[in-house]
Amino acid sequence: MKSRQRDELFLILTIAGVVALRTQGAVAIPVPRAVVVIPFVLLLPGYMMTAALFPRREVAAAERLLFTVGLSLVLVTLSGLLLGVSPWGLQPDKWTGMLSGLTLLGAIAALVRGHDDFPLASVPAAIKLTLRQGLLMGLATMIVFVALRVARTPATQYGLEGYTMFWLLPAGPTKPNEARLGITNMEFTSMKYRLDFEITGHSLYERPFLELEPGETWQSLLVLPATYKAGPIIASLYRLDDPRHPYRQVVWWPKGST
Amino acid sequence: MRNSWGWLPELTLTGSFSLILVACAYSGARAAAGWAEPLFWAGLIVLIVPITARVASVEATRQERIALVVWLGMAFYVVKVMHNPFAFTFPDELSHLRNVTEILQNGRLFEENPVIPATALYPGLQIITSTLVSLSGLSIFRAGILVIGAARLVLFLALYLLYEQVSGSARAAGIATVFYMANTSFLFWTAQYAYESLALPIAVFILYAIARRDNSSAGTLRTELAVIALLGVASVVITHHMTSYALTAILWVLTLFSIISSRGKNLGPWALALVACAATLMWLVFVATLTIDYLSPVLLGAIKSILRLIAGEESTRQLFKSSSTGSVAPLWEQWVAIGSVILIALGLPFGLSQIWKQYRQRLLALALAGVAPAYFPMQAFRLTPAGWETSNRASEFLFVGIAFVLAVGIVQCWFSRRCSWIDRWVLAGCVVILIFGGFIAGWPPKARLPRPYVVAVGTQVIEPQGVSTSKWMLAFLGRDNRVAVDASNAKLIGAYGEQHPFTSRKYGIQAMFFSDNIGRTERDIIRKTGVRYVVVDRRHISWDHMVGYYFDHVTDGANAEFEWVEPAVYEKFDSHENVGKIFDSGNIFIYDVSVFNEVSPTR
Repeated sequence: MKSRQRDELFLILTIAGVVALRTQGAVAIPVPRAVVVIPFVLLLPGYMMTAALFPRREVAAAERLLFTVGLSLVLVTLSGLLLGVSPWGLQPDKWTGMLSGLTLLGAIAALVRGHDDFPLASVPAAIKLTLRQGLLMGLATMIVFVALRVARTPATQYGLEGYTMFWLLPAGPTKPNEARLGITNMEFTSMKYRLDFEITGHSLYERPFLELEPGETWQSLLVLPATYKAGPIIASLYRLDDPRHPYRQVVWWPKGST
Repeated sequence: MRNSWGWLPELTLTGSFSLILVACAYSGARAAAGWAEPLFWAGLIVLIVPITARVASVEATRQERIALVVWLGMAFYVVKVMHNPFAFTFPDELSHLRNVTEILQNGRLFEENPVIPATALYPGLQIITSTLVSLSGLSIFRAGILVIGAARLVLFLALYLLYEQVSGSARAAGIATVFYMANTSFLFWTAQYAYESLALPIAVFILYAIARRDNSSAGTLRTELAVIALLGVASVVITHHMTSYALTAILWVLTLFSIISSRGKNLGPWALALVACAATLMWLVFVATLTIDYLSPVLLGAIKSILRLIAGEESTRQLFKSSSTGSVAPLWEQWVAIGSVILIALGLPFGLSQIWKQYRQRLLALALAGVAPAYFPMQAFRLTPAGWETSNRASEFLFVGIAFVLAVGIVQCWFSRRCSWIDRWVLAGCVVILIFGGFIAGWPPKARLPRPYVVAVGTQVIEPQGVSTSKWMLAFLGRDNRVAVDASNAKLIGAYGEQHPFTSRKYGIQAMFFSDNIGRTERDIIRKTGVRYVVVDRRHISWDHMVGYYFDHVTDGANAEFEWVEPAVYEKFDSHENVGKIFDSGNIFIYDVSVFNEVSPTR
C-alpha cells in the first residue's frame, strides 16, 4: 500500500478514536459534540465499509457518496438491532464502541484487500470549482440559511390568543386533605388574577391579587380547614379586568367527600 | 466555456431564492395573509422550472445532472422542514417521536407505543435517531431532521443511478428522477419523520445495487454488491412493513422475468428474493404480528370500498371537496390535478413502447415498466373514501416505475427529434403541472400551508394549548396514564405527555365524547378502556389530526372548521359527583374519572 493511503487510513482511524472519546467526554476539544458525532454516525461507518468493499477505483464520486451514506444508515440500523436485543442495550458507551468497532473493521478489511485509493485527498481536485462558482454556491448556501431563519420566526400575536393554565391536583394518598394549586400564564401580556375557593356556595379562601408575567408559573398548596366536612372544593380564577366572570375553574372532590 | 459543473452554481442560487419565497409564504400563512398561497406556488415554480429545463438539456454533464437533481430534491426537503421548523407536527411524526423517547429512557427496543403500536416493532428509524441523540445531545426533532435528510440524499442519488444503470442515459436518468418528485406522497408524506421515509430510500438503494450488479461482468464487484443488497434487505425488513413487502415482490418479479427470458438458465436475484421473503415473513410472524391487525383494516377496507363502488352499493367520494368543511377546491387546482393525470396517461404508452423496443433485454427496465400501468387502477381507489389513502401511499412505489417510463418516452420520442430551449421549457411546465397535481391530490389543502405553532412574547415562546397541556400531564400526572382524548391531542399527549391515549372510533371514545350525558354506555366505555383521565378540547378541529395542533386565529370563528363543541357535550362531566376537574386552560379541560373505574383517585 502506498504510504499516502496508509497515512490517510491512520488519519481516519485517529479521527474516529478522537470522536469516540469526545462523545464520552474523555477529551475536551472546542468543537460542539454534534459536529463530530454527525459524521461519526452518518458517514464514517459507510465510508469505511465502502473502502473495504471497493478497494480499487471501481466507484465514481456519486456512487461513493451513495454507498457512504446509504451503508451508514444500513449499518447503524443493523448494529442497533444487535445492541438492542443484547444484554447491554442501547447505551451511549456501547454505541460508541460499536461504531468505532465498525470503523476499525472496515479499515482492517480495506488494508487486507490492498486499498489503493482513499479518496479524501482527491476530493478538492474533484470539486474543481472556479472562484466565481464557489462564490455563487457560497451565496446560495447563505440564502438557504436565511430562508430557514425566516421560516423559524415565531408567529406574531396579531389575531391569536394566549391562554392561562389553572390546576388543582390532590397531593396524594398520604395527604388526603391537601391539593396542589398552580397557575401558568401563557398569555401574551402580564396578567393580574384573583383566586377564590368555595365549598357549597361559601367562600373558603381568597387570594385577591396575583400578577404573573408571560411564561411564569405560580404554585401553592391548598390545605382543607379542620371544619371541612363534605362537598367539592371549587377553585375559580378571575382576571382583574373581568372580576365577575370566572376565567378558569377547577373542582376537587376530596376523598370521602360524599 | 463552462466546466463540468455547468449551470449548477447559478441554479443553486435561483433555487435558494425560491426557498426565500416559500419561507416568506409560510410566514404569511401563519399570519393568515391572503398572499401566502400564491407566493408559495410561485416559489415552487421558481425552484422547479430552471432546474428541469437544464436537466433536460443535451449540454449538461453527468456530474451536473446528478448535482442538480440532488439539489432539487434536497430543496424540496427544506420546503418540508420549513413547514414546521420548531417541532414535529405531522400525525405520524408524533407517533414515531414516542418510540425514540422510549429507547432513550429504557435503552431497549420494542417498548410499547400506545399511539400506533406497529411502529415500535419496526425500530430502524428510532435506532438511528436515538443514536444521534444520545451521542450528540441534539434534540429528537433535530436528529430526526438530519436522519430523514440523509435518507432523502440516498433516495435521490439511488434513483438517479438506478435509472442511469437501467437506461444507459444520464439525461433520461435526470429527467426520470425529476418526474419521481411528482408522486402524490413526495413533498410531505415521504419526507416526514416516519419509518417509511427511511425504508424507501434504502429499498431504491438495493435496486440500484442489483442493477449495477447485473451490468457488471462476472467476478467484478458482483459479490460486493450482493453483500450490500443483502445488508440493505435486512435493514428494510426491520424498518418498514409495506416497503419490505414491495421490495420482496419486485425481487420475485425480477427472478421470474430472469427465468422466463433466459429459459431457466439464469435465475436472477433468486437468492436475494428468498432471503427477503424469509426475513420479511419471520419478522412478521415472530416480532411484528400486530402488523396484520394494523394493515388489514386499511387494505381490506380499500378493496371492499372499490368492490362496493363497482356493485353500485357505494357512491363515489366527491373529488376536490373537503369532507370536513364542504369547501370546494379552486378551479385551477382541479384542472392541474386532472391535467397531471392526463399527462401521465398520455406519456405512459410512448414510454412503454420505447422500453419494449429498446430495453426489453434489461430485466429491471421491464420490471419498472410492468409497475407503471398499475397507476390507472390505483386512481380508481381515489374515488372511495376508504381507498384514498391507499392510492396515495402506493404512488411512492409506483412512481419508481412511472417516472422511468415517462422519461424514456420523453427522451426517445420527443427529445430525439427536437430539443430546443422551447421544448425544454415546455417540459419544465409539464413537470410543474405533474408536481403540483401530485401535491394537490395527495395532501389535504387545509394542511398545505403552516399554521401558527409558536408565538414570541418578549423572550418567551408560547406553544399551543395542546402541547403545553401534554407537557403538564407528564410533569404533574406522571407517564403512562390511560387517557380518553380527541385525535390530535392523542398524538400530542402520546408524544410529549408520554401518556397512553385512547381516541376516535375505536372503543367508542368519539361517541362517548360527543354524547351530552354520562349514561351507562359512556361509563361502560370508560370502564372497558380503564381510562383514568378524560381530556376534553372544546374545538371541533381537535378531532382533525392533520391540523388540530396549532393556535387558531380569532377570526377563524367564522369558519366552519373552527366551531366549538356544544357546551352540553363538553360540560357533561362537570355535574357528576366525584369527577374532579383537575385542569382548565380555556379550550382544554382534564377530568379525573377514576371514580368510574373504582380506582384510587389520588396518585
